Amino acid sequence: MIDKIWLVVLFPLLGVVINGLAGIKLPRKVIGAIGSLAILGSFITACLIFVEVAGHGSAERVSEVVLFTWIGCGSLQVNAGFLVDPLSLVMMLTVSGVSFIIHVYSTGYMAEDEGFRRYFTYLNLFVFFMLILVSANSFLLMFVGWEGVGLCSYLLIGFWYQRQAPADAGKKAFVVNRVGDYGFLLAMLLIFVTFNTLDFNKVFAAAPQVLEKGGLAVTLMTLLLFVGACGKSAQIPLYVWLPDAMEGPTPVSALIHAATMVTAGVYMVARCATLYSMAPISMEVVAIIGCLTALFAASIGLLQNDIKRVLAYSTISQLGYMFLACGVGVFTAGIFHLVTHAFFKALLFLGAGSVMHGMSGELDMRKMGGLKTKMPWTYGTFLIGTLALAGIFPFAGFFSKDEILWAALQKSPALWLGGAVGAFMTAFYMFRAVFMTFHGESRIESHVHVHESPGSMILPLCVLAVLSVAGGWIGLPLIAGGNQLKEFLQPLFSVAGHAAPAEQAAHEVGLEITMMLVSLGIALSVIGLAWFMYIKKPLLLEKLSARFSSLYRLVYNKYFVDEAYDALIIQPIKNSSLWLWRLFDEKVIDGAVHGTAALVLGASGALR
Amino acid sequence: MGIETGTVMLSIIGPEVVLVLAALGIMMTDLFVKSDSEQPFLMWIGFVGMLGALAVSASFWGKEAAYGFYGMVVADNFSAFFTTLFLIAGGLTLLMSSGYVRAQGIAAGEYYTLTLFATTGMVLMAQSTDLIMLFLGLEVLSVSLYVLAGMAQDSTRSAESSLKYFMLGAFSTGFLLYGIALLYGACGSTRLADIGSVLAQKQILREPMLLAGMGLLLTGFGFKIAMAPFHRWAPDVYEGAPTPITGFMSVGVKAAAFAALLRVFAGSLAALSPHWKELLWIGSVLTMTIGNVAALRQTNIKRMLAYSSIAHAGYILIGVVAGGSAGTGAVLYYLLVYTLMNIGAFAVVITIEQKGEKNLNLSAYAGIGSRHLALGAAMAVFMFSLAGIPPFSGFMGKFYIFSAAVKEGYIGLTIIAVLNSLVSVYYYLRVTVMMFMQEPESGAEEAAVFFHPALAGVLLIAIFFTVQMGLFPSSYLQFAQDSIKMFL
Amino acid sequence: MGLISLLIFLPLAGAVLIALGPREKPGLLRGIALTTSVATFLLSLGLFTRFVAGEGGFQLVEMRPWVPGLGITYRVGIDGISLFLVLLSTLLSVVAMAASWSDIKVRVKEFMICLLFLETGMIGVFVALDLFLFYVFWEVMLIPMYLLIGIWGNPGRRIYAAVKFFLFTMFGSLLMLVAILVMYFYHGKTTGIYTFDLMSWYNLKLPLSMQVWLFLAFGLAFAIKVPMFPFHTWLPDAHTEAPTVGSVLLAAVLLKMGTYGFLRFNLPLFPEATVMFVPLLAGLSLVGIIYGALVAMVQVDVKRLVAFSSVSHMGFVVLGIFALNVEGMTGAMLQMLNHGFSTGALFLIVGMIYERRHTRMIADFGGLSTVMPVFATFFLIVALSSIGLPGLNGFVGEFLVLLGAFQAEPLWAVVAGLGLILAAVYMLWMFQRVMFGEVDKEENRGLKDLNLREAALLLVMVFFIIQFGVYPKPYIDRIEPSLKLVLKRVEERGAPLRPAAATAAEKPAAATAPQHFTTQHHN
Repeated sequence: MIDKIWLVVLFPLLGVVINGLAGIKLPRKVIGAIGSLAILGSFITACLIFVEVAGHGSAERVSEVVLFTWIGCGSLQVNAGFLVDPLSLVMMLTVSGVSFIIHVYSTGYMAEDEGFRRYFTYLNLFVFFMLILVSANSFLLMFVGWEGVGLCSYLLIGFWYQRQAPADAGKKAFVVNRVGDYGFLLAMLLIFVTFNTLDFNKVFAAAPQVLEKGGLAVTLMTLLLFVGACGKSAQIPLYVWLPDAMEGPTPVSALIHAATMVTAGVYMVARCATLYSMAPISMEVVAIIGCLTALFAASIGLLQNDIKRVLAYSTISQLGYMFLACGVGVFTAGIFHLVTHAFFKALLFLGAGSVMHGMSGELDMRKMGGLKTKMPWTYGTFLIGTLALAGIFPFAGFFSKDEILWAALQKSPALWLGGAVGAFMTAFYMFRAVFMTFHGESRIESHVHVHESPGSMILPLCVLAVLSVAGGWIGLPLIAGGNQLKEFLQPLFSVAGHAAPAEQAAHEVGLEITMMLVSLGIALSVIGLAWFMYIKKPLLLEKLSARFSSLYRLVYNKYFVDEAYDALIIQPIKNSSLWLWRLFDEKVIDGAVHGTAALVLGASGALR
Repeated sequence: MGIETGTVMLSIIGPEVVLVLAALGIMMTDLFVKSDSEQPFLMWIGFVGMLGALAVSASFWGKEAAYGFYGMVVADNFSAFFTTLFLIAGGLTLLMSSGYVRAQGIAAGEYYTLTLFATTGMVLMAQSTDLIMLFLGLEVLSVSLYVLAGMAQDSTRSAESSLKYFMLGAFSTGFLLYGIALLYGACGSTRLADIGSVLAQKQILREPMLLAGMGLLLTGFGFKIAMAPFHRWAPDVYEGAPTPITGFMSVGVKAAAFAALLRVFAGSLAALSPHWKELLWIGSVLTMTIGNVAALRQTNIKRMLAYSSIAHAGYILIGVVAGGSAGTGAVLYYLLVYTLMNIGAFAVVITIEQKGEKNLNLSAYAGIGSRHLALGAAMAVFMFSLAGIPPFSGFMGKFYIFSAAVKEGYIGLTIIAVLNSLVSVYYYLRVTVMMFMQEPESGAEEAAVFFHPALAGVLLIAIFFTVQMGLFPSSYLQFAQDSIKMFL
Repeated sequence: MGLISLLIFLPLAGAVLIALGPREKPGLLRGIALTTSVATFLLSLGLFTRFVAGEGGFQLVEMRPWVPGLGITYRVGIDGISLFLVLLSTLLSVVAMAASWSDIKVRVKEFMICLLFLETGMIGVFVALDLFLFYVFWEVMLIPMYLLIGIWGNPGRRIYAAVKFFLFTMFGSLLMLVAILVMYFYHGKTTGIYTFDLMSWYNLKLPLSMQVWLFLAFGLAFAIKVPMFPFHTWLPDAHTEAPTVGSVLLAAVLLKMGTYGFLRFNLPLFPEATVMFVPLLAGLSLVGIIYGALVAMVQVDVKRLVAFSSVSHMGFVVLGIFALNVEGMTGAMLQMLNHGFSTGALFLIVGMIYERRHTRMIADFGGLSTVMPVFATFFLIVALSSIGLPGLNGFVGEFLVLLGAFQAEPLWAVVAGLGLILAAVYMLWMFQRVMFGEVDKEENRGLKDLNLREAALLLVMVFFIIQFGVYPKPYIDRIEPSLKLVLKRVEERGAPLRPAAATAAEKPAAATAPQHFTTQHHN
C-alpha cells in the first residue's frame, strides 16, 4: 500500500481537474460531492498506509516512493517522490481529515455563493499542494507544495475579489509569504552546496558527518529555513498577513489559516529537526521568536472586536507555542500541539462561521450577545473549542500546551513565563469572545433574524468537538502512562544520536503535576475575570480603557505594525522605483541617447 | 610594364568610337524628329550605342592588356570593368530619362547626345595610361556635364547648378593640371608607367615638387569624387540638375574619378602610398562623417541623396586606403553595387517627381508605401541597401570594404565607418518611415506617380541586381578581383 | 535540401506566394500564411525527433559554399542550445499568425509577408554556424520587426519606437561586425585558412588582450538585444508600441538572440575574457533583475510593465550563463524558453484586452474577472508562471539559475532572489488592479470572454507552461550536453583566471563539502 502513496495527492488533483474543467455543466450538489469525496479518498488512503506503517517496527517505518526524475541537471538530481514516515503520515492524516470535515461544512456554508465551483476547485487544489508539502521527499518538492499552498491561500483569501479588502489581503499574504520563501530558497541553495543533494533522507543522514555542530553553515541554513517558516506560519516579523487573511470565506480561514497551511512552518522545522538540533543558536532564535509571537499576538487578541480577528491572533499566538516547542527541542510536543490545535481551531472558526451564517454575515462581537439560546449547537461546540484552546483539563489543548510549557521551563524560566502569560491571555480573550457572543444581553440589530445553521454545518462542528476533546488523549503525558504520539514520532527526532536534550530529561512527575494544577487554576481565575468584566460589570471596561488610553490605543491598533511597514518599507520602495524610472531610465539613459542624437542632428544643422 | 607604343590601334578606343557614332547619330536624327512622340527613338539610338560599346568593351575582357595611341590608352580588364560600369550607368540613365525629358520639356537631342559624350569621357578616363589623356577624358566628361546640369530649363536652380558646377569644375581642373605639370617636372614624363618606374628607381620620394604634385592631383580628384573638404559643390549641383543626371553624376562621375585615382595612385604612385594614404585616411573620415551628418537634416530627397553620395565616397576611400587586392577589389565591387542601387533610388525619385521640381520634399513620400506597394518596397530595398543592411548588395559592398580595412589593420577607421553607417541608417530609415508609416497630411494632394515602362525597367533591373549581388556576390567579387590584376 | 534549410526557406516561399496573391482577399492571404507557418512548425518537429539526445555537438549540419572567395559558407546545424530555440520560433510564429487574425485589419498582405520574413530570420539566427551567415540573419530580422512596429504599432509613438529599436540594435551589431572581421583575419593569419566557420574558430586560441576587445564588441551587441541594463530603454518603447504579435515575437524569440549569442559565441570563443568579465556581466544582470522589477512595479501601462519585467527576467538568464556552471547555464537556457512562453503569453493576453478596449492603461480596467472568467483563469496561470511559481515553467529555470549563481558567488543568489519577491509584487498588483474589484467602468461591463481561437492560443501556451514545470527532463537532457561542451571550453582555457571559490564546475563530493563551504565564507 505504501507505494500507492501517490493516490493521496492524486485524488484532490482529480477533484481540481473535474471541477475545474467539467464543473461548468455540473449541479452544485455534484460539485460539492466530488470535492469532498476527493479529499475523503486521500484520507482513506492515508489511513490505510498509516495502519500499515504503524504495524512495522519503529526502524522500518521510513520509506521513500519515487515517481520520476523531476529535475536532473549537473549535480542536481531531484526526484519527484514521497517520503512516508510517521511524521508525514501524522500530517497527512491531520490535513486530509480536517480538510474533509471542512469540505463537508463548506457544501452548506457556501451553498448560495456564486463562485461555488471555483471555491471547491481552489479548495481541492489547496489540499493537493498541502499534501505534497507534507509528503515530499526533498526540499525542492516540499517547496512546490510550500508555494502552492501560498497560491491557494492567495486565491481563497481573495475569493470575493470584487471587494477591495479581500483582494488586498490576498496579495499581501502572497507577498509576505514570498519574503519567507526567499529565506527557504536561500536555505535550499546553501543545503545543496553543502550536501550536493536536496533529498531529505540523504541530507539528514549526511548531516552529522558534513556539518560541524553549532557551525556557521548549519546555523545559517536553519535560520534561513526559519525565515521561511516565519512567513508561512505567521511569526514575528512576518505575521502581518494572517489577520488580514480573515477576509476570505470562513471555512477557508478554518482550513488554511488555522488548521493546516499555517502549520507548514512548524512541520518544516520539525522535519529538519536533525539540522536544528545541531544549531543551538537557531534553536534559541526559534524559541524566542515563538515565545514573543505567542505573547504579542495574544495581547492584540485581547482587544479585537471582530470574532474572526480574535481567532486569527489566537492562531498566530498558538503557532508561536508550536515554535516554542520546537525551539526548546520538544518537536513531538510541537507536532502534538499542531494536531490538537488543528482540531479545536478549525472548530472555533467553523463555529464563528456558523455564527456569521446565522447573523447574516455580522462579525462584530459588539453587535452580538445572548446567542446561546438561539444557536445551541453552535454555542456548545464553540465552548468546547474555547475550553480546549484555553487549556482546560481534559480538553486537547491542555495536554499539548502543558507539555510545551513544561519543556520551556526546563530550558529557561523566561520562556516559560512568556508562554504562561500568553496562555492566561488566551484564556481571557477566548472567554471574552464567548461571553460577548453568546452570553449577556442581545445587542443584535433588529433586522437580523438569527437562526441555527443547517445540518451539513452542525455535523462537522460536532465531529471536531469530539476530536477537540479526545484528540489530546493520544498524547497523554507520562503521568498517565506514556505518550503514543511521541513513541510514534520520536525515532525521527533522534536521528544519528542527536536527540533533543529536553526530551531526554527525566520528567519529574511531581513538579509537572504541580505546574499543571497551577496553570489550570490561573486559567480558571482568568475565565472568572473575563466573566466579571464582560458580563458582570461591563462599565469597568470603559474606565480601564480611559485610564490607560495610550496603551489601549496602541494595542487596539495592533501596535501600528502595518503602518510602520508601510512607511518604512513599502512607500520608500515605491518612491525610489518611481524615481529610478523617471530619473534614471528617462533622464539618464534615454537622456544620453537623445543627447547624442541631438548632438549629431545639431551638427547636421550646422553643416547644412 | 613593357609597352608597345608603336601603333595607333584604333580598336583600343572602340567603345569610345561606338559611343561617339551613336551620339552623332542622335544629333542627325534629331534634325528630322518633329513631334514629341518620336523622341523615345533618340533615346533608343543612344541605348543601342551603349549596348554596342558594351559589346566592344566585353571583347577586351580576359585578354592581355593592349595599348593604343602610342601607349596613351589601354584596353585591359580594369578598363573593361569600368567601361561596363559606365555603360550600365549611362544605359540606365538613358532609360529613366526618356519619360522625364519629355515631361520636363528638355531638349531631347542635346540631352542624349551629351549623355553619350559624358560616357565617352568616362570610358576614356578609365582607359588612359597617360596623365594628358586622363585630363582629356576628364574634360570631355566635365564639359558635357556642365551643360547637362543646366538643362532643366525652366529652373533657375538648374542654371545655378550648372554655373556652380562649371566654376568649381574649372577650379579643380586647374589643380589637376598644375599637379600634372609638377609631376612631369619631377619625373620627366606624363606617362603613368614611366612615372611608376622612375619612382621605383629614384630616391626622390621626398622631393617637394613631387609631393606637391601628388597633393594637387589628389585635390583635383577630390573635387570630382566630392571628397571633403572639396565636397561643397555637390549638394547644390545634385539638387539643381535634372534628376536622371543627378543619378548619373552620383555614380558615373564618381566611378570615373575613382578609376583614374586608382590607376594613378594605386598604380604609378604606389611608392608614395605612405603619404597619400594618410591624406586619404583623413579625407575618408571627413567625407563620410560630413556626408552622413549633413544628410540627417535634409528634407529634399535629392539633396539627401547628394550627401549620401558624399558619404559613400568616404566609404569607398577606405577601400583605396586599405589597398591591396582586397581593398582595390572592394572599391570596384562597391562602385558596381552603388551604381545599381543609387540609380534605383533615383529612378524612384523620378517616378514620384512631378514637373517643375515638385514632390522632391520628403513629405511627398508620405503614404507612398500603402498606395503603391511595389514602388515603396523598391525604395525601401534601395534605402536598406544604401544603409548597408543585409541581405542587399550595399551590405556586401560595405562588408567587403570593411573587411579589407580590417585586414590591413585599419580598425580605427573601420569603427568610425560603422558608426557612420549607424548615423546613415537614421536618414535612410526616415524615407521608409515616410513611405510606410505616415499618411500624407490632410489637404495635401496625393502625389500622382509617374509611371513609364522604361523607368519600370530600370527599377526592375536595379532591384534585381541589388538583391542578387547581395545574395550571390561571388561572381561579381571575382569580376572585381580579375579587373585589378595589374596592380598586384 | 536538408531539413534545416527547408525550415529556413519555406516561410520565404510562403511570403513570395502571398506577395503574388490578391490584395483584396485578405482571408486567402491569412490562410496561406498560417498554412506556411503551420507546415514549418510541423517540419520543425522533425528536428526534435531526429536530434540525438545526449550528444553535445552540432547535428543535422548542412553545408554548401556561398562566397568561396571569402571563405563564407552556408553552414547550418543545431545543437542542444539551438534546438529548442528553433522550435520556439516556429511554434510562436504559428501563434503569432493566429493571434493576428482579428487584430490586424489593414495591409494584411504586407503584414503576413513581414511575419514570414521574420520567421526565416529567427530560424536562421539560431541555426547559422557561419559567422557571416549569422550576421546576415541577425540583421535581416531587423527589417520586418521594424516594419511591424512602425506600420502596425500604436499610433503616436510607434515610429519613435521602431527607429529606436532599429538604431539600438544596429549600434551593437555594427561593432560586432568589426569584431567578426578581426576574428576572421586573425584566424586566417594564424592558420592560413580564411573562413567564417564557427567550428574552426572554436579551435582558435586568441591572445587575452584581443579577447577582451572582441568580447566587448560581441557582448555589446548581445547585451543590447537581451536587453541588459543599462541598454534596455529601447525595449519598453518597442514592446509598448508594437502590435500584439510584434510584442509576442519580440519577447518570446528576439530577446533570446542576445543570450543565445553569449552562449554560442562569447563563451566558447573568448573563454579567458569570459572569466575576466564575469563580475561585470553578473553585476549588470543583478542590477537589471532588481531595477527591472522595481521599475515594473510603478508602471501604469500594462505592456510597459511586462516589458520591464522582461528586463528583470532576462537578467536571470544572463546571470545563469555567467555563473559558468552546468546548473546555472541549463537554468538560463530553460529560462530563455520559459520566458518565451510566459512573457509571450502575457503579451497575447494584454493584446486580447487591448483589442476589446483599445487601452493599455491599468487604471482603465478593474473587475475583469467577473466579466471574463475564462480569460481570468488563463491570465492567472500565466502571471503565476511569470513570477516563478513552483510546478510551472518559470520555477525550474529560475531555481537552477539561482543554484548556479549561488555556487559561483552566494551573494549573487541572495540579490537575485529578491527579484522573485518583487516579481510577485508587481505582477500580482497589476493582476489585482486589472482583474479584481468591482467592474466600475461602464465600457468594461459588456466585454466578451475569450472566443475559441483565443482560448486555443492560450491553451497552447499554458500547456507548455505546465509541461515545462512538471517534466522538464526531455529538455534538460538535450540541452545539457551542449552546454557542457561550451563549459568545457571555458573551463579548459579560462580556469587559471578564475578566483578559487568560483571553480564550482566539479563540485566536491559530499564528504569534502564543509571545506568547500568554509572557503566560500572565508573569502
